[in-house]
Amino acid sequence: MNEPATAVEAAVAASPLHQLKDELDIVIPTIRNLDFLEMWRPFLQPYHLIIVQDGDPSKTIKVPNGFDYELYNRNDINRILGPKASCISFKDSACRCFGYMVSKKKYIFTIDDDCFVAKDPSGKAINALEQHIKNLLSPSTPFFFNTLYDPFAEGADFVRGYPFSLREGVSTAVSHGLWLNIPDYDAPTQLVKPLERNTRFVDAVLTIPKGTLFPMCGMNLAFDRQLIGPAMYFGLMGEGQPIGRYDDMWAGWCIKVICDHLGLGVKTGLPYIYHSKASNPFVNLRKEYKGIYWQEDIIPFFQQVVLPKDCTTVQKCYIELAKQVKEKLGKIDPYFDKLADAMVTWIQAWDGLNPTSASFSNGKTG
Amino acid sequence: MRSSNVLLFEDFKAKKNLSNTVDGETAADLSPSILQKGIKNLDQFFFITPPCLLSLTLDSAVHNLSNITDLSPLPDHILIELFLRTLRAGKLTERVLKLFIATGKDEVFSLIQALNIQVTVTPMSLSIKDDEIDIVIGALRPDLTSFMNEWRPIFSRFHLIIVKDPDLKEELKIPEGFNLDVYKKPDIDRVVGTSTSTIFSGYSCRYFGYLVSRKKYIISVDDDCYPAKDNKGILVDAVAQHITNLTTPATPFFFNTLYDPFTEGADFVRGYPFSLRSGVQCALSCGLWLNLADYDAPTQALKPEERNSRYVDAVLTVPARTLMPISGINIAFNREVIGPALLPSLRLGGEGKFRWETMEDIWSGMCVKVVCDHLGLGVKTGMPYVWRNDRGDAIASLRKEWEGVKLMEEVVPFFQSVRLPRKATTTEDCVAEVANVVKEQLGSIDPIFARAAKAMVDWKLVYLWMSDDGNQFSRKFQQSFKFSAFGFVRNNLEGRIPSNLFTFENLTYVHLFKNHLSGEIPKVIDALNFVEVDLSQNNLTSEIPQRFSKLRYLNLLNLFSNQFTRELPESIG
Repeated sequence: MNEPATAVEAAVAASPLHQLKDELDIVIPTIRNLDFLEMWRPFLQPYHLIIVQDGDPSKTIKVPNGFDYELYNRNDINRILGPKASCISFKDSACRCFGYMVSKKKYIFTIDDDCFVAKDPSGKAINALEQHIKNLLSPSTPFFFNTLYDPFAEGADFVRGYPFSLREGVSTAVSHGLWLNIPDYDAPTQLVKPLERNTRFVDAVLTIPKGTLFPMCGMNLAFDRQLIGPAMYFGLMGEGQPIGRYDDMWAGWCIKVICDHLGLGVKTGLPYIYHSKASNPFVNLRKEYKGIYWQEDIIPFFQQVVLPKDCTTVQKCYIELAKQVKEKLGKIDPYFDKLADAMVTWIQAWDGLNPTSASFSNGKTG
Repeated sequence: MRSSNVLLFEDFKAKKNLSNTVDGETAADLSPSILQKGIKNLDQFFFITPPCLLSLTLDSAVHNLSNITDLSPLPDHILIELFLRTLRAGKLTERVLKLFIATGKDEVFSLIQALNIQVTVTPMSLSIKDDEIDIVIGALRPDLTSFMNEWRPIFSRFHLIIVKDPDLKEELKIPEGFNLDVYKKPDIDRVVGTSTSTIFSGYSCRYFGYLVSRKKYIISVDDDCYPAKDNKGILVDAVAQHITNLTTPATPFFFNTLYDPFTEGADFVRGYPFSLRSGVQCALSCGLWLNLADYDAPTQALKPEERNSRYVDAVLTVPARTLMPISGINIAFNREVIGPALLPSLRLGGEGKFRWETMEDIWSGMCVKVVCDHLGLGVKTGMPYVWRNDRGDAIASLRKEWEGVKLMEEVVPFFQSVRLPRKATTTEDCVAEVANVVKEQLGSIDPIFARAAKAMVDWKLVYLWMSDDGNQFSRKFQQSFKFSAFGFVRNNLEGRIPSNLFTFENLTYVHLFKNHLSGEIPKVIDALNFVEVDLSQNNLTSEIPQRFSKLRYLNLLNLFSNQFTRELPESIG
């Protein structure tokens, strides 16, 4: 379990099924290369990739043979979105949300280019995508906590005392996976514990209860684009911005508030991937420090947000959220004004590229 | 008779096919049943056979291991014998093992190696002493022999409170070698009166144990559960894990995706607010079950073969304002902080002797969670696991009426909506408030809730009286109570008996013996329903009131061992 699986081990574990082959896109932000895909080939090759190339657009990113993909660099983003491209971050993996916007599929799986295939305690290679799909296709249970975790998993069920009226569950919008080896710590924790590795394989998937916020990591994430896509904006980070490494956090707080409002579920737990690259804590600290300080105000803001009843679509919820961000967080720093504007721009860009989705409300397909 | 002890253990090893581990993958299997079977074989080799003075002394030594600090003066053969008996008694803790190792004797080392004993680091916090913990077992079945023996390696260090289900007719069978107190129906009746003792029937009998306990931490496990083994095959020390859960902070205000941030090898993840990282006190630790999970009867009837084999290596804090079904099968709590909120109040009409025929723990758990959320305390769930044995027939239970399942449809939305007022700052206040709301909002839906609300109020009062706070004796008395009994026995109660004690019409039993009460017996005796009055073994002075003669129903009047000035008045008798 302390090393990633090899390509051969992954091949052995791959099932021929490849569910949702034509309904799922894999979005990968990269600035380096895509060599890591070799490890994932047996699990991911049947799926369509959307590569979002960050950084210098004149550089060529080589995609391993045999993968079906579309690749967008900064020039493409500017070309496609025009002035609205200002909402997409540059020099930060937050740019990946462009991939969500431009996709035409129902589901998205996003993964970082330093994530490999992990092994479970029995040594078997873990097909992370297969588990994400399982999570997304089975209901969530946000209204009452099941002590045996996911009641829809093999060998588990709802425990005594769980009301039968709540046992149908709700649609799952987001599946949040975890990481073995290098854990997703912030810079201060990394500096204190540079050698800590996550070796604990927790064999559970659970629904994050309604009303509870969580830190959503974008390293190993899947979601139903049609249910929650427009809320998956990863914010303004990177070059020209005062903050970095809060892109996925911001999206996570937004989607959770909206999912709670619309009655959708968010799961966390399995699958695990193997995170191989430890980032530089000093570089991280520079990017994060404002975020660490600001989040003390941001969290109470999200905990207290109330979305009005007439916000029945994700876009409406998101626009309302942007309004409240401007009102309540604007006074902390002008960054939040810019962010609120960018949130609105994002929705406009999303609706522009996805015209039929303009009237999506929870669960209905367009 | 063998001369060398080393030889005889080569024999034993060969018989049992024990392998020495090389890299620790198959860690010591200290499963008591396996060891006991093995050690029984050794009896034939022992040259000290009971009964003789030496043997009795050795047995006594085993019982008093906690007082022994140095074993080196012992001759070799006695040391070995003591070691084996300690093993057999399940008392080979880390501390005791170290005592043996400290003697430096080769035979001891050979034994340890041959039996593959390894020192496993228990996660128990070093600052918790064994005497801060009570283990409370509700006995619903008479023969506790295998239960106690299986738990011996884990339980034998602690004081146990065993409460016998008042409805159980047969005598309890409990093996030797434990430090325990057993409470049966007569004890319960004596303390709370016969009319009230019905609330302690069935699974609710364990609440009596919570009531009489004086310790800070209580761990409670159903009598059909045994120690489980984790993924590596090591026996799970459920007590140690519960204590670890209770003594490390909980994090209810924000979810940590790596679960318990205070455990080895984990921490708070990126994005977790720093101001929330100190956490709050954990009041309740809810464990889980392997094999027979805690399902209701319909689920079990539908999936009769299903057994839980998934060992999830996690402890997590249940977020604030999130409710859950808290099962009483494997639970631990901080009695000082949350004791009054664990109460027997909801009794199903068809309540039976299988867990899936009750809802009392689920109801109590909802109250506890609401109270914890209000007071800013944490509730954890996850490890430790226990192994729950197959028992009973769920389909047979299904034929009874399905009250419990139906009730949950009302109970859950109700508790989700409960908001306690700011002025409720203690656990007792919170319990009283919840009782009020239950009575007002649920009482009219079903009489079961009205009864539950009343039981909660009564409980709160009993708990106050029973809690170890002698200073509050007279204050407690100011509160009106509807209980029929007042018992406060063998505590260090000081102060005077309130002058209005004998004016309460509801009171029938008053047990205040073996305290340090001083002053006079109240002279005003207006309530005439007393059946038993026991004020013996105190420091009471002055005269015995003549008016005791008016109590027509009085069966027992104990006043001995006090300092009364005059003799018993003639009229009493």
